Amino acid sequence: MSKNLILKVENLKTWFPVTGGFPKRVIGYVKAVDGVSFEVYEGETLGIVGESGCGKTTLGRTIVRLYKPTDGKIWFKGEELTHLSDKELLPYRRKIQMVFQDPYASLNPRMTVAEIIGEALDIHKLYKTREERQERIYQLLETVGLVREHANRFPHEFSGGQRQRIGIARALAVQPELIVLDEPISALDVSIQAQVVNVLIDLQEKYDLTYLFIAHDLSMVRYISDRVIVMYLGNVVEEAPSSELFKKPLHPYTEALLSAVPIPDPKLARQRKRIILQGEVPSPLNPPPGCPFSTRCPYAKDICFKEKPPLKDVGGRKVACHFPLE
Amino acid sequence: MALLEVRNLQTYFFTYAGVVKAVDGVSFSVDRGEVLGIVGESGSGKSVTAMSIMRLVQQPGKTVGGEIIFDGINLLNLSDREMNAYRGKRIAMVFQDPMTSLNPTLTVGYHMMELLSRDPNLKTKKDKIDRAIELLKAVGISEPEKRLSQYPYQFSGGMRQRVMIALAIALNPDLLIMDEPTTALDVTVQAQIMELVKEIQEKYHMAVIFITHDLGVIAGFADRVMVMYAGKKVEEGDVYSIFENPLHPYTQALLSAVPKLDMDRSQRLYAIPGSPPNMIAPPPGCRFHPRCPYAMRICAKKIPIAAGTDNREVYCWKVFKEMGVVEGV
Ligand SMILES: Nc1ncnc2c1ncn2[C@@H]1O[C@H](COP(=O)(O)OP(=O)(O)OP(=O)(O)O)[C@@H](O)[C@H]1O
Ligand SMILES: Nc1ncnc2c1ncn2[C@@H]1O[C@H](COP(=O)(O)OP(=O)(O)O)[C@@H](O)[C@H]1O
Ligand code: SF4
Ligand code: SF4
Ligand SMILES: [Mg+2]
Ligand SMILES: [Mg+2]
Repeated sequence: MSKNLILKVENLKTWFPVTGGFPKRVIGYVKAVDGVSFEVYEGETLGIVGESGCGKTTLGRTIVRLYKPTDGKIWFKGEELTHLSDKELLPYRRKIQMVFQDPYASLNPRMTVAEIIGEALDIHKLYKTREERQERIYQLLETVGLVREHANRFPHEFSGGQRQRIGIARALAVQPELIVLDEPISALDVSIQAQVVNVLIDLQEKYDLTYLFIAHDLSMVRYISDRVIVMYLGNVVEEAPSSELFKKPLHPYTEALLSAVPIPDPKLARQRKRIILQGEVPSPLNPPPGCPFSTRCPYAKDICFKEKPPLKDVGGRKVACHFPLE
Repeated sequence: MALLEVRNLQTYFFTYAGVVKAVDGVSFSVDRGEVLGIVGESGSGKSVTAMSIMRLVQQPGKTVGGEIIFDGINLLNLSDREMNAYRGKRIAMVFQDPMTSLNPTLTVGYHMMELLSRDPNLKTKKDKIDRAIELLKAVGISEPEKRLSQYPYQFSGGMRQRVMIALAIALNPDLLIMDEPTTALDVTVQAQIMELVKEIQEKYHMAVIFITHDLGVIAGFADRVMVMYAGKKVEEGDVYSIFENPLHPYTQALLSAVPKLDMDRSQRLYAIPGSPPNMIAPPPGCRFHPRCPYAMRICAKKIPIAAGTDNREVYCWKVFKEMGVVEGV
């Protein structure tokens, strides 16, 4: 793996205002992403895990600039993006693509597959003739394991796995360098998740792509990612190379996540002692003072409820906890 | 005698495009206190099986054949009114998406009080409120007194699913059917809910039918597993044999496809080839044959008959050749 930095995110915040009262005014903020920093290198896959509502999608959408960050900076290959105008941003929009969470909702039902993929080609004027455009569409379909005959069909005629491939073909159409994959397999049956993951891995090798792979299935994240960041309530709580994270989590939340993964073995599953977290994920509208995990953490002590632990380096990894696991 | 015995169930959907044989001749039984897992990919007929037992299949669907014997009575012969008395009271169901079964304009308390009014032991309003609080506590909802006056949207997905479970167990049913109750939930919440269901199941000695597309989820919970493919049962056995020695090629494929924490990163993932069948014109013979690596000539012609041993039932010609026919099926 090359060690060229492709993406750098620093203290990124994306807050959504909440309005209420009379007359209507802003009464608070949903701090969906609340000070996130990380780096991504060319050709690698960075996994992002965490429970629903912890800010993964918002983070991804902010990186592709579907949302404007409230604060913080994003660099793509050395260029700082947050201060760019929409016009200046256009070439970057092409290089950073996103595949969306819901394969059923993310494709326009009234457009054929050819129109969906062609639209991306049109926006960035990536062909000279009609024939070239058509040929590109066929090629893209074949690249993701579909066939030419699919071009004139509508999304509802496809299964979930096939729809997700169409979404991937659309993202690939503009020859991106970085793809944000937002739970690309979560809505699919286990029986077809592997097909989509295999396609993603093949494409990464073929086109030297960099992935941000957002997911809550830890087995798949471990399999596909080189490094992983764990998010909780808008914050990064742990970052580590994939192999190390799963062997030895340092953050109590990562430990709980791992212990919740179902084991497909009746004997082991019955023997194992799981850490069952108590309580619910707090609302990002009203995060607890101190450590964001303190309301559910089995190891919390006094200081955890008062002081928010910063993300600190520990031997090539990072963890945000006053009492990292031994 | 088994608590529930489903015999040759056929539930079809009569659509413009043709007849979808969503459940096509499925038989199985569930004993008191037993947990049966039903596994299969999307569209295999799991939910329709559950809805058929509840007699909740909607137009253009209809149960056109078979018997559903619950505690000695064929539910298919009951009038709508008689069936209503069974629903919730003796057989309860938890759905995949709790929002579809909770009315968003009514409080959680209202939902609970309405159901509890069917319990003859609860005479006064106070009895019912006390019981509602007790139930919410039992499913791990903190400050239940306050929660009763809240609306479903004020609950998180995990909490809504807990409310659904509280409602489902409120009248002490003999059979609880859970259709992918945790599929929409996060792993940590899924673990909480599975623990909860296990605890309740053991405490009340309830029979449970647990439906999922992910074999991994039920390894630690089910006593027996039934695998469905394209509207048919393909294999059934106790949970240990199904996981340790799956016999049907589809069960083997499904098990290989379950993501595991120790998957070798240098190896390609195993993916089931092909796609699920078109249910309007399913493949003749064994419905899995276009995707099966062992398919023989007979597989495309004749529907497999039951093969295996006494506590194992497999519908596959290959297994039939190797093990012979099961007695008594
Ligand atoms: N209302 C309906 N009209 C027509 N066909 C239907 C209807 N409901 C279900 N079906 C068909 O019946 C078959 C079985 O559906 P069912 O919902 O039971 O599958 P499932 O295994 O539970 O799938 P999933 O995991 O997606 O819920 C499918 O082919 C489906 O398309
Ligand atoms: N457009 C929006 N307006 C207000 N709140 C939002 C919006 N999008 C997301 N949120 C809130 O931000 C938080 C993080 O959401 P999201 O990033 O979608 O989570 P995830 O993808 O991890 O499930 C949630 O509390 C969610 O309700
Ligand atoms: S800082 Fe305290 S509450 Fe937070 S994860 Fe560490 S031990 Fe738990
Ligand atoms: S009957 Fe034939 S096609 Fe069907 S699973 Fe068995 S071997 Fe495969
Ligand atoms: Mg999301
Ligand atoms: Mg279903």
